[in-house]
Amino acid sequence: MEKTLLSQHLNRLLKDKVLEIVPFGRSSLMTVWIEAKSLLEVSRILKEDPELCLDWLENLSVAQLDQMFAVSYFLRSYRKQNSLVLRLSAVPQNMKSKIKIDSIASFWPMGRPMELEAEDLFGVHFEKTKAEKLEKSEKQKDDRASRDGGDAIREGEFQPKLLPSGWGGYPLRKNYVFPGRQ
Amino acid sequence: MNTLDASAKLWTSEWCRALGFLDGVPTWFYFFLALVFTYCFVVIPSGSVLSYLDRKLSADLQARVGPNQAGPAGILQPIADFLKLLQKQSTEKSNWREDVWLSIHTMALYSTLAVMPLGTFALMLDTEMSAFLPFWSALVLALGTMLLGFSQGTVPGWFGGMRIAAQTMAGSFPALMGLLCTGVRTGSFQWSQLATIQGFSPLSWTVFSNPFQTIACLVFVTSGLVLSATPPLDGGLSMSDIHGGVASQLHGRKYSLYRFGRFYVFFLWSVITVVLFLGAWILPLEVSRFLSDKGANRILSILELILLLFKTFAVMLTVIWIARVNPRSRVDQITSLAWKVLSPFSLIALVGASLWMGWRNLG
Amino acid sequence: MSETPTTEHSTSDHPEGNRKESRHNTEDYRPKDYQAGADYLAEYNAEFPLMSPKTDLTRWKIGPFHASLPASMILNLVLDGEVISRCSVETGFLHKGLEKALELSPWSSLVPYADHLDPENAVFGELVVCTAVEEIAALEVPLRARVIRLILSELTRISAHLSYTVRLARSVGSDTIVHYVLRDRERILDLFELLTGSRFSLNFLRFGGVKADVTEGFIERVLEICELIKIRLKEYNDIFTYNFSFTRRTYGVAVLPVDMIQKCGITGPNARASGIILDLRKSSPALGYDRIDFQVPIGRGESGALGDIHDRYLVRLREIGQSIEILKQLTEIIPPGDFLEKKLENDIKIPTGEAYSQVESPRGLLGCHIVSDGSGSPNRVQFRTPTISNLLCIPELIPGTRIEDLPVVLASLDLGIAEADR
Repeated sequence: MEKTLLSQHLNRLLKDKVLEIVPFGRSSLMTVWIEAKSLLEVSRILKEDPELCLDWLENLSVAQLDQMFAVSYFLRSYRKQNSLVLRLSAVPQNMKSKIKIDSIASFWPMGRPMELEAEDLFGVHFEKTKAEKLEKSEKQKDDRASRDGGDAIREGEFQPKLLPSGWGGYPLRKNYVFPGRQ
Repeated sequence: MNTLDASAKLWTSEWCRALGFLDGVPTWFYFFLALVFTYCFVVIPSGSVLSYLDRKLSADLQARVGPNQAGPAGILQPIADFLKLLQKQSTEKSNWREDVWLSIHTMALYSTLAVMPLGTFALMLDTEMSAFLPFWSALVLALGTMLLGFSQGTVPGWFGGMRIAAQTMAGSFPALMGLLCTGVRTGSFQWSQLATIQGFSPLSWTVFSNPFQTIACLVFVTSGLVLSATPPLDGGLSMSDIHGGVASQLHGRKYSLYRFGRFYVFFLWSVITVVLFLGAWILPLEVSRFLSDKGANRILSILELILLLFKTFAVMLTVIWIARVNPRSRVDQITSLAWKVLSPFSLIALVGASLWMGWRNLG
Repeated sequence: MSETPTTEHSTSDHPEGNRKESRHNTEDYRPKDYQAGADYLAEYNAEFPLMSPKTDLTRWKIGPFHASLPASMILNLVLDGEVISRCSVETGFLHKGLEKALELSPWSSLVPYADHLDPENAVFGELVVCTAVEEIAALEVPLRARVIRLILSELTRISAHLSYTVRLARSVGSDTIVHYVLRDRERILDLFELLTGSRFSLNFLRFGGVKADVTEGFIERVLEICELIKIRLKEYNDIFTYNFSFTRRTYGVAVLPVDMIQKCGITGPNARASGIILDLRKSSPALGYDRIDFQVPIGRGESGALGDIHDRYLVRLREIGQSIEILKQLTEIIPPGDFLEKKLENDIKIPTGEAYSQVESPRGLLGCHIVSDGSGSPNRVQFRTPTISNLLCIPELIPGTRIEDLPVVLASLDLGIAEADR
């Protein structure tokens, strides 16, 4: 879709949830800034809209600028020629605490590994919605295999464990100090 | 018993007399000497020669050079390998189940040395049913390997053990049928009979005597590969998916013993194939008559052994050649090959060969 | 991002996507209502005691080092007899902290680091980073440099697909073709050494062009290699591609259905083998392939099942053929001119801005998001690697296959764990 048409369409769809629409760098992509709390609704609208049909999350990138963490979702469409960047910003309470953002894995399952990585490296915790958590625990109750022993076989999941367990701190934050280098 | 005594005395006592010692020892000592002799002077050297030829020829196929450091053109490589293997120590504690496997394995395999047919005068066990004994040894080897797999206590070991059992069961039936086909032609399963019915020229070999015998030979060789889990049909022991299967926890000298055991069964099976189907050790009639008239039994047996080993190596190298070029088949593909392809063909071969013989005898 | 992916073969109504019934169906021993991922403890059916001999489930943890795995990763398997019932993947063993290292280093060290994102396809790491930085800083790349970059990309693509053949052949146990392919790949690596001085980590691209001009005789050698590989492709087909045992092991195994591809975001030859037409070289003209005439190979399902291992392999072989065509055309159109617009100092500062660049690497769509805040180091460099999607599909693809096919399936997916872990 052409740029102006796209921004008009987005403004129409999302109404008050859009903070602003700006071009992405020097390219022809559009960045849509939204608030963190309206992420799930916006995702649903963007995915289900028949004209936009953004059903491919190509990339999920977290960047830190001063105190603010900007989470960018690079969205594309399989069927149509649409693409845009969805952005939201989050500020943690202090530089050592986690940030909680809703997870979009129910809309775009391909984003789950990138969310897990961001959690390890940035401390941005993408939490599943209540409905998903309930569904998962129901599923686990029926699993006879996980009843015995209960060792950590997480079925059907891809776990990128970039950091060994027990690693302190979030390495990719700007204030991270390497251990032994005080 | 008389044939036993006679043949044993004939063979080793000839050599002992020539070398000028050990007169007047009991018969069982001759047996023991014969076993040791076979193992040390036939099996181990052919293992070395074959390993060298295998490595050099595979290297040729694969556009490589192969061993070329130990001796001119790498001729002494097998010796270097042997010395290296002798000094390999195991890094893990000895498992009593592995020792059980080891004793079963050793006893079963090397008792068939007594059965291995190596020439007119080198037959220690020349009874009416002697052709079936190597078959039995393949089964016992499979049992031992299965127990070895189960003794590992790990998932690859269990899988390897089960697969070996499945492969062996699949391969036994066609192998047996193929064996019976030769008996149909010969009328007996005695080594000497099976050998003398064939001649030196390929036209008189069993494999070319009638088309059903050709089928039987191919079925016999293939099912032997299935029974003994030799590449290319070694899915049961596959390295890549189950990490070596039964041998995944064997190290050091035990591992080399295990590998040599696998080579031994392959070698045994090839020798049996040559004896049954491919003309055994029979030299041209003039040569053997000339030498036996002269009483030069030792030269005769050496020549026969050389001919036998030459044909055996040809068979083994053909199998190795096919193994190197082709991918490995899965275990279920191997067993379905044995059950769905080899078994029907073996039955066809048996029935056809019997009918052929019956028709010829009638007419 | 203009042309969108379309599917050539529609998703059938079969519940497993387009896993058609092929005559090489390896799954006909399972009961008709078998569901991958379901739980089958030993159930004894008294009426037909021999019909349902299900075993207890075996748990097996493979990794991090195993002969069947492409690199360090852990696979937790639940096995039902010889069939894998469930699987979970754990990676992260090759995490080098590349992205953090890039933030702490000056801009001029971006290219050598990006080489090591995926050691096999080093040029594509450099290419995606240079493209992003040139977009931020509005650097113009001369045409000659662009053509040289494309030549290197296509040579790397051929080399990567050849080493894919090697991995696939080793996983099936076929050791002869391995040596032939590696011998031919050496010629390409020699070419790299001629041009850049090293075989794998080239460190050749710079912001605004390439480091040096092509040496004398390079173009002629490229053409020689094209002829050689063309002849060799026929040889590989004779020996390996249609070998009976190989086809028995790869027809109909591990079919990637289209819905799984779209759910996991798989791109590259894996997706093209299942019929999805998506190739960045055709769809985004910024890469520079718009003046070159070539075709994008897609899987044709010759075995009866579209998107099985054999299709993935054939697509890559055909891509080698197409790369040869591209190389021939590139050597014709290479113009005289500069190879670098302006040599930048070691302590350059890239202006504030951000960019997201994409290239078509041999494994799939490789993307790089760079954020610059005007200082001497980048603020954020984030790589979007194609292997993450391939790894995501493993827990859904593998259940239902036999444990013996596991190394073959993993080799056929072309997993680059080094780039997935960064």
